[in-house]
Amino acid sequence: MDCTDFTSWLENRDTHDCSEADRALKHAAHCATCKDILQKDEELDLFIAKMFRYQKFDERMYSQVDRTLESSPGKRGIKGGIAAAFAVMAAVAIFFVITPTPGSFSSLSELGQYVALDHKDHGRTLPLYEKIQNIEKWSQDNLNYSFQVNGLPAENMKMVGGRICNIRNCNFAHLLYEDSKDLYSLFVVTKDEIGFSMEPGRIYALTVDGVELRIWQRQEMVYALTG
Amino acid sequence: MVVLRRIDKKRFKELTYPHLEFLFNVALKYSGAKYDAEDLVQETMYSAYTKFTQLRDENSCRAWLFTILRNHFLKEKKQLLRRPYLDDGTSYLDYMKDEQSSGFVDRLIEKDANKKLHRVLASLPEKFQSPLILYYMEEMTYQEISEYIDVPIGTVMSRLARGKRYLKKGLLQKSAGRKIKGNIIQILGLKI
Repeated sequence: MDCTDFTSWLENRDTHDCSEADRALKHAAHCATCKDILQKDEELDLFIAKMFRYQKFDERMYSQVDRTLESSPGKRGIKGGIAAAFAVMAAVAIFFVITPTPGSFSSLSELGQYVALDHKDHGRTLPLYEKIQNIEKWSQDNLNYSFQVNGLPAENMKMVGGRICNIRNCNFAHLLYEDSKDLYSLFVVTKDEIGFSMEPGRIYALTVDGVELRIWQRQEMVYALTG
Repeated sequence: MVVLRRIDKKRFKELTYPHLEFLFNVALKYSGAKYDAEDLVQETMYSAYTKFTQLRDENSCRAWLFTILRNHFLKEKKQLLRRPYLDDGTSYLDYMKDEQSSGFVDRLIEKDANKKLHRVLASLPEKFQSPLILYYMEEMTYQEISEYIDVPIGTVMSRLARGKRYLKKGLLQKSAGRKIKGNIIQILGLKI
C-alpha cells in the first residue's frame, strides 16, 4: 500500500474490510506523513465523538410530556375510537338500508310495486301456470316450504294454476285465480323475505299503477292479492 | 377491535420515558437548538401516544420512537427550502497537512465547537445526519444503524463514510475559514 492508497483508505474506512485496515496500519507504521495524518484523523474523530455526547437533559421535559399526554390522546383516543366505531356501525347500517338484501323489500309500497308489475306482465299469460292439485305439496316441491291458502281468495274463485316467480332474487309462489269477471293473482312469500314488519292479521290496501292490492301476513307467510 | 383498544398511559410511560433523554439528544443534533429539540420531542411523544397500539414489540420501543422523531424532523425539514449539498471535491485530509500533530484539533476548532458541529451537521442531508448521530452519539454498530433507519448495511457503511468526510471537512473548513480569513490557498493547504 502506498500513501495514495492509504489516504483513500483513511477517508473511506467504513466501506473497507479489516484486511485493508491491517495493510494501511502497516504502511502508516513505516511512513511518517501517513502516520501523522492518521493520528490527526483519530484525534478529530475522538473530538467529534465528544461533541456528539449526550447534553444535559432538562428534567422538566418529563412534566412537559406529562401535560401533553394529559391534554391529548388517551381520552381523545378512546373517544375517537368510540366515535370511529359508531361511524363504522352507522356506515354498515346505512349500507344495509340503502343496499337491498337479495329478496327483501324495504316497504309495503315497494313490495306492492313489484307484485303489481309482475301481475301486469304475467297475470294473463295462462300457459305459464301449471295445474295444482295439492297446494301444500306443490309449494313444498317448488319452494322447500309449504303454505296453505284455505279460504283464500273468496270461495267463488277458482284456481287456474301456479308458477314460481323470482322477484328481486326472492322466490314467490304466484297463484292465478279467476272468477266470472276477471283474473286475480295471489303472491305468497315467507315473511323472512320481507324487509319490513307488518301487523299480523291486518289487511293493507293499496293501489299501484291502477292495480288494487290487498297485502297481509298470516303466521309465517305474507300474501299479496290483486284485484 | 383495534380502534377501541384503550391506551395504557402507565405502560406507555414505563416504556417510553426511559428514552426521553435519547430522543432529546437526537432532536438536539437534528435541530441544533434546545427549544426546537424540546418541541420535536413533544411532537414525537404525542404521536407515539396516539399510535401506541401500533407498537408490536416492546423491546424495539427505542427504535420505534426514533423513527417517529425522525419522521417529524423530515416533515419539518421538507417545509424548508431544499438546498442541495454542495461538495467542492477536496479532501478533508488537506486541512491537516500543515498543522502540528499534537493537540491540533483543540487549536484549530477551539471554542464554539458545538455550534460549528451543528452548523455543519445541519448543512448535510438527513441521509447522512441520522447514521452519524447514531454512530457517534449512540456508538451503534453498522448493523444496529441499519435496523434503526431501515436501510441495508452496505448503504449505512457508505453513508457513514461520506457523512464523516463531509462532517470533518466542514468542521475543518469552518475553523480554518475563521483562522485564516478568506485565503483559499491557505485553506486548501496548498503552498505557493
